[in-house]
Amino acid sequence: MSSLTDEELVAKYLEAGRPAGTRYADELFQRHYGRVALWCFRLAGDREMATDLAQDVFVKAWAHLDHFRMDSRFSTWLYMIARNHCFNALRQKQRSKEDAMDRADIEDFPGTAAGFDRDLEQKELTGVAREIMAAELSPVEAKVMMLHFVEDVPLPAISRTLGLENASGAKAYVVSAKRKLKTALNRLALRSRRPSTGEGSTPDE
Amino acid sequence: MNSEDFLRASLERGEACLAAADLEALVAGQGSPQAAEHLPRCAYCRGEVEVLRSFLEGVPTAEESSSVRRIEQNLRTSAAWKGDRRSTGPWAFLGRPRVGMAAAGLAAALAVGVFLNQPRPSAPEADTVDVVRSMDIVGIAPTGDLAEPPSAVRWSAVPGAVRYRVSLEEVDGTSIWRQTASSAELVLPAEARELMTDRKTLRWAVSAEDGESKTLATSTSLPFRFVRGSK
Repeated sequence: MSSLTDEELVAKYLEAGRPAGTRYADELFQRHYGRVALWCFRLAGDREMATDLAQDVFVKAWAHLDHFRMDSRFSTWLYMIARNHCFNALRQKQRSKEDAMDRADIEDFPGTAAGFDRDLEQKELTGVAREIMAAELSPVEAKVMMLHFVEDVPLPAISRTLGLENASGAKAYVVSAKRKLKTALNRLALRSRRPSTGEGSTPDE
Repeated sequence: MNSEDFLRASLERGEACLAAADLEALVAGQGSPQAAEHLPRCAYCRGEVEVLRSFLEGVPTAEESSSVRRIEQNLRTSAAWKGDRRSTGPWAFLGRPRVGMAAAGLAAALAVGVFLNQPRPSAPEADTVDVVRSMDIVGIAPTGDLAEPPSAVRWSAVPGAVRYRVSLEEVDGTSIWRQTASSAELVLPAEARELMTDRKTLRWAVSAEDGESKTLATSTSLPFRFVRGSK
């Protein structure tokens, strides 16, 4: 059985059904205990919570294995389960603690306050911001910002998950990313406030 | 729009963002031209690729190894995820014993069970009795970051095993080298060590067989990485 790929094991499991195919699922899941354990431990930061998270991931994987469509590798499918479950759990933990300590401070960005968001439609502003994010942020800044502001992952958990070894971890990347964004938005705000030279025309830089 | 909403809206997943298969291909360095074109223009997908990479290629540090191994052992011995066999609904979680409550007992069991390699009784299960699962192989080495490609693989012996099958795998589970051994250690030949290039994460696993080629136990796959110049 050890010579079968993950996807072949899933196929065998689906063919045999439960309970006969359970041995294939056993083999399959065992191969991934290590990576799920590490992922959960890094996100949770303590062994007890990580153990619970890891168990939950496999409970969900087992419950939904019949729905694995083979449109990605099994390991990626398992990652999606781990990712969604762990991020949700961390979000709930944060809310229950009402803990703002791990949250990066957010001051106003130019353009999001009463500045040029009157001039730019909301959707347009977001589109511009997406371009700025992609263009200005380093790969590490992008992933830190995405995890923290979209997925609500606490900064210490991001530092552990991404293996950031600098003194202040993920926080340093948030600070540098915000500085870059502010500069870019200031530039944009200045440009949008410059008086136009004619109908529909914009002065060249 | 306040600043937090602004950041969230600027960073969240968009309609053009990549599917899971595209993300895994990028991690493997095999992204499609469309995915490769999208990536530099999307902070969300750049983040996703790196987070997926951290899941697929993560290697525990020396400090993390002990905790990770205990979590793995718990998954293997308690097999709590199997408790969901009769149900797929969210209520299934309610009946599952939480590990945190049994932490002290587990720690004691692990202290004895893991290090003395004694077979343990399997966890009670609803619909199967699986004697094979009562035995575990604990991978001992290599694991984590290593200054040199490892010269041997070591694991805990399994009573009754006459043969062990060792495999080296890519992080996605693709087997790249196999060998059998008659004891709980295998000296790695040059051909295997040559596969361990600088900073490339590999995983290894071992299964034990009896005289009738029946699998007695299988280890989890352990990640390791040769990092030139590491301690």
